[in-house]
Amino acid sequence: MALAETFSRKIHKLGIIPKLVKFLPIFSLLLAFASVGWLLVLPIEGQYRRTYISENALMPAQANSYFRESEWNIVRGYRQEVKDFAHWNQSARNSMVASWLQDIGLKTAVDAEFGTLYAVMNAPRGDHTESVVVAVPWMTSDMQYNEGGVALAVALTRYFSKLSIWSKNIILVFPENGHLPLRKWVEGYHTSLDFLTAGSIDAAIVMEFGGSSDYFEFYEIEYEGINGQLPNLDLMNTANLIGYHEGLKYSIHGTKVDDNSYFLRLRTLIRGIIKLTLTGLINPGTVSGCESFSGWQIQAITIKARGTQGAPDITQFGRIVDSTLRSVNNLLERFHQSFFFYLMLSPQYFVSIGTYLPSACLIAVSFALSSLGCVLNSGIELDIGSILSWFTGIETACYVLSVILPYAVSKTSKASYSGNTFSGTLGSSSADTSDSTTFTDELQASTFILYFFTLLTVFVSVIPFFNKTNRKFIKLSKNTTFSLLAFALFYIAMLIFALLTVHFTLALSIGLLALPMTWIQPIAKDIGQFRIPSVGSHATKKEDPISKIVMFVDSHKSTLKICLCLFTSSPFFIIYIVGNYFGTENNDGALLLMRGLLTSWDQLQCWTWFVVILGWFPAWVSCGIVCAIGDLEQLPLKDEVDKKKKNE
Amino acid sequence: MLVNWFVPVLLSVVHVMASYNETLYLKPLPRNKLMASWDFDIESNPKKIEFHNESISAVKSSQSEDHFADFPRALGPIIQSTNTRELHIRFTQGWWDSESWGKLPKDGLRSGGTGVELWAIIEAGDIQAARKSWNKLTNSLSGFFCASLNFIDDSITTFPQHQSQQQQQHAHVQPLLSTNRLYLLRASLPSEPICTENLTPYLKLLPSRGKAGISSLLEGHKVFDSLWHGMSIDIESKCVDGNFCSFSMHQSVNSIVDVIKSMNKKENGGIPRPTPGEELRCDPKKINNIWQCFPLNDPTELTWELGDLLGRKIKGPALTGTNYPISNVIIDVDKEFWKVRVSKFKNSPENEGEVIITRHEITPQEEGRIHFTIDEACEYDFMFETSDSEKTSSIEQPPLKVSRSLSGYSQGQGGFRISFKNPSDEKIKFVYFEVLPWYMRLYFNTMSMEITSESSSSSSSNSGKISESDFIKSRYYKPAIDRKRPSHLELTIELPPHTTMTLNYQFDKSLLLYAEYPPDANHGFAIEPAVITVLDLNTGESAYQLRTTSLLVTLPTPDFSMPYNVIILTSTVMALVFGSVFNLLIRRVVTEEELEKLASKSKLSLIVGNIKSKINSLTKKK
Repeated sequence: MALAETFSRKIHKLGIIPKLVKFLPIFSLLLAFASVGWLLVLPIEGQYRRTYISENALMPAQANSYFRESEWNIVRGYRQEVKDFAHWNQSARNSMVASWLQDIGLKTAVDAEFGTLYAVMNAPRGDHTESVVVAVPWMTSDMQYNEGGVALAVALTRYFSKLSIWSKNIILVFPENGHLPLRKWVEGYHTSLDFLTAGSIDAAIVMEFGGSSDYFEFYEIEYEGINGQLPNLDLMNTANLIGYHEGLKYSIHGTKVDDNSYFLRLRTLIRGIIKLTLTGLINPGTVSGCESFSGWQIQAITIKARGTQGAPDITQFGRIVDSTLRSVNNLLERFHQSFFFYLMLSPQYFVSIGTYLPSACLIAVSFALSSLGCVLNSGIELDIGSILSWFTGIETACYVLSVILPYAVSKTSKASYSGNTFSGTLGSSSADTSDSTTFTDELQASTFILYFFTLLTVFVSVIPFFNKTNRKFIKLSKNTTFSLLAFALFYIAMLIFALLTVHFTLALSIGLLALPMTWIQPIAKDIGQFRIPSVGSHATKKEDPISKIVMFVDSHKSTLKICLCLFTSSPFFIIYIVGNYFGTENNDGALLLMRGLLTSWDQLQCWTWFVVILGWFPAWVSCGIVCAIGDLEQLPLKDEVDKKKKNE
Repeated sequence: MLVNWFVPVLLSVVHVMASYNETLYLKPLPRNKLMASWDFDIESNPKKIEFHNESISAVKSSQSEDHFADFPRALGPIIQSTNTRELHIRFTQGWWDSESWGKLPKDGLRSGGTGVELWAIIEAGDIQAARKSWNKLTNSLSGFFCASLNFIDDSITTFPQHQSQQQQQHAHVQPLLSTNRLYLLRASLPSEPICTENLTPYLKLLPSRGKAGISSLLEGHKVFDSLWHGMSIDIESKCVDGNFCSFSMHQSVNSIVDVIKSMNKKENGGIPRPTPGEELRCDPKKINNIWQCFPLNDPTELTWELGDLLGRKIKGPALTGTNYPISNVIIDVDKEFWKVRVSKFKNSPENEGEVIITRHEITPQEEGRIHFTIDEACEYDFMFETSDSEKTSSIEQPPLKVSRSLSGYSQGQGGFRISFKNPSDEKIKFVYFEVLPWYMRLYFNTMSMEITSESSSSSSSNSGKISESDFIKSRYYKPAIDRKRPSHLELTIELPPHTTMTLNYQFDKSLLLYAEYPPDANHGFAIEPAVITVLDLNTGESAYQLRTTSLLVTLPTPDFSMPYNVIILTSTVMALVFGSVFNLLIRRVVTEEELEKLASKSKLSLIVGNIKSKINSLTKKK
């Protein structure tokens, strides 16, 4: 206490606080840099950890898998058949596979909504309370016919039925693709499916082996769920450890297990952050299937075979699934050890939440500091009343938007929502075509919304040019202006803090992308500082046309900067840019992302849209209003005025 | 005189006639499965028994051994000292596939739900006394059967309403003392695994001790490597005249054996090695070469012996020296496609091996059933030969299909979804009996009902009370009391033909006290199976009984490392508060100038001053 007291007395004596307050914008910027820096430090050797199996009961790769030798012949046998009915419609394909599974002794059923076939293999003597899912979409996420996957699934089931070690039921699911049909099946399983259920699902593996090759090069694991949810790290490690014992190469986000350099780790980290932020929003592009299991306490991963030329064969791929299922089967409890929040740097290295969390904390603090700077440096008095009335108004409007826009999209698409983008390639039933029209309808509605809001962004960003100081009508008082700006920044800071642990990558992304908002007040200060001397020299330089132009440009330089800040921090501008980055020549990525945002709540219960429209957007609108009709001229702070007086 | 002479004769006749009887029932099922059930009936001699009172000293020595006859002597005193008039125990594991296997053996009246189920009729003066006897009974049986029956307490015990009403109507037993009542108590332990350790005490109840008769087939490793198995014990007391009672016991073991798997196990030792390429059974209609094979189904033309599946042979009749058939075998096959041969073996000391003395085919006597009696003191085995194993004797479908599942995913709440389907052409009436642990707080206001009829394919959901009472004829609900009583629900439902009814209701999960969470690794909290008793529409008696599967509920589990964090944080705060308060209490308030003056006089500042002045003088010199 005494020490702190001495310290605070010293601070008071030396007048450090006012000096610090003046540097708040710089501190804020430094913290933002520190946040990025923190992320850059994570891939440095010594900062990350090597993955390990935390739950001893899993015992991965301990049991020998006998899915080999003549089982390969059987896989080929089934694959030949699967290949032959590639052009059949869904119900015909499903009934064929169902008949094979029934021959093996499974119970099958079809989920009515999307015609998804599923089958249950009951564990002998099992108490029928727990199960593991193997999901095999007919179409892989790369829009390939999942021939190998389906054949492998049936052959594996045949092999599983010969074992008596199962303590959990095994459920096989054959959705049309890994997106909506699978999601709706998972939802249906927990709400409406009767007579063929198999207890609570512990884990799920989505299996993708497109094409009819016997071999593959390496396999890739995808694990991101929606709303920032990740499967237990143990599950992924189990699959990877088994792959390692099989002598296979595996990768995540394009980084293979052997690749190990700082930049590759950094690349994986960044790709992981982007992927996790966008999971469930862009379809296709970020669909991997496993995200369909999010939200039901199911640990899910997707295993994809990559390449067709290579030493590993299809039964090895099957053995990974087999051994992983056996490991999960060993579990006495649900997954609870290891990590649920992590960022991967390579298949073997990860950072856990405690290590990466400070990054988003720093950026949140950066927003909080610049919010504080807004109040302290602009020499205003906080006007809480007007903040509340203004912000409540904005938030209400945004709330209305948040509900109306998705509703409008689902309304324009007439039929019930459905996102089957893969239709046309597979089958040609009428349901498929109606799905694709639904999809284009949704896309059209999203197009309209995206362009409308992007134009609005441009419009709002340009208004500050016309924001004359001497304008009389609709003008915010200086107090209201800066109070609102400060509150908007504070709101973002709070948003980041709230999201921090739940959805780290979204919080971080919003923090980084909305960062230009924090620069508005320091830039606006230049307007004030420029104009204060100009008042004095107004009479002398009045007649000089060149200096007048220079003066004009100079004075508008700040306005221009503010416009840029507003423009680049707008959520719709970002959607446009980010979406286009992920677009392909066939698909306009921006529209897909917009559509994804608008429909993902209804379809997947992904709440990113609400975070954007109720968190980020109102803050941006507040900044926009401040810049458009606010009084951005700032009073010089007291000590500055004092200094000036002294100089004079 | 006549009576005195007559009674012993009568008793000895009863003893000889029906003291012990056993039957093995074998029925091949589709997909190369075999249902095997063992039934043992044991009866004690009638004897005058008295109401056992704790205050009066222990069981009289006059209850001599001959009273029990073949009835297990270990069980008798337990039953008598707890005044149990009826006792029923079920051990079951696995999932009954009614689609392929049809009705449960003996109309499900001798099968239980997953885990252990126990109910008893206890005679007692009042409910407290009944609970006390029940407690004593479960604890005694716990040691007896190597099962955690001692975990049965008030919080899971119920008094089934419908069952006890039925009991009273049909009046199997009467209280010994007119002041007493009969209480039906029931409890179930759904997470109790059933394994070989439960079989050993079970076999010891038999007079042959599992050494002879059909019980010699019961080898733990084989019986429990099944798809489904259940064991049951039913003890009833039959009173002829007032207190003149005998105990009759029915024991049964039922098991579904996978023939192909068992045969593979015998040949390959249980390791699922891949079939050698040349032994693959491929579909000749499809592409079939050295690389590729579309597999055929399991073979349907089979020959196997019972001894191969169960690992043993029947060792003669259970008891010798009786002049009536004790050990019977009933085999239920379709005689067109199946041939059954019986082989008798005798150990010959010269060859140190078994020698077949006879092998002959046995022919069905009536309705395709084969009745066979084991009467010679040699080893018996049955050989089954079939031309098409898919053709089995007819399989009767159960009158009702039920599925119960959990809905919702949150840690705090969830829902039940129960579907009943009447596939038959007749109206069906049944009692739905469900016991839920107290930590699930039910909300019956959330109960909704959906009716789907196949004929009209109309679907009405939750359309008010009127439609609900059309189907639910009576309700009984006893809400739970935390840690004292489970919630207990009984619904009498009538379902028209080809109709599916789905009930939904919600519950909250409550937090437990920290010591109530299981200390070991656990899957979750098991919810006991619901019991559905289908009633005979004419007589009102139970016609069929089935159970749903058990369910797993994950309760909100606190992070148990939290107390540690709390202690650390609290200690820190306490230390800080103490420091500042202590500081405030003992500090002397001085002005800043005074402080500086004082500080300049302190030893430390004197030293610092000295050093400073020295440095100053040094620098000045330079």
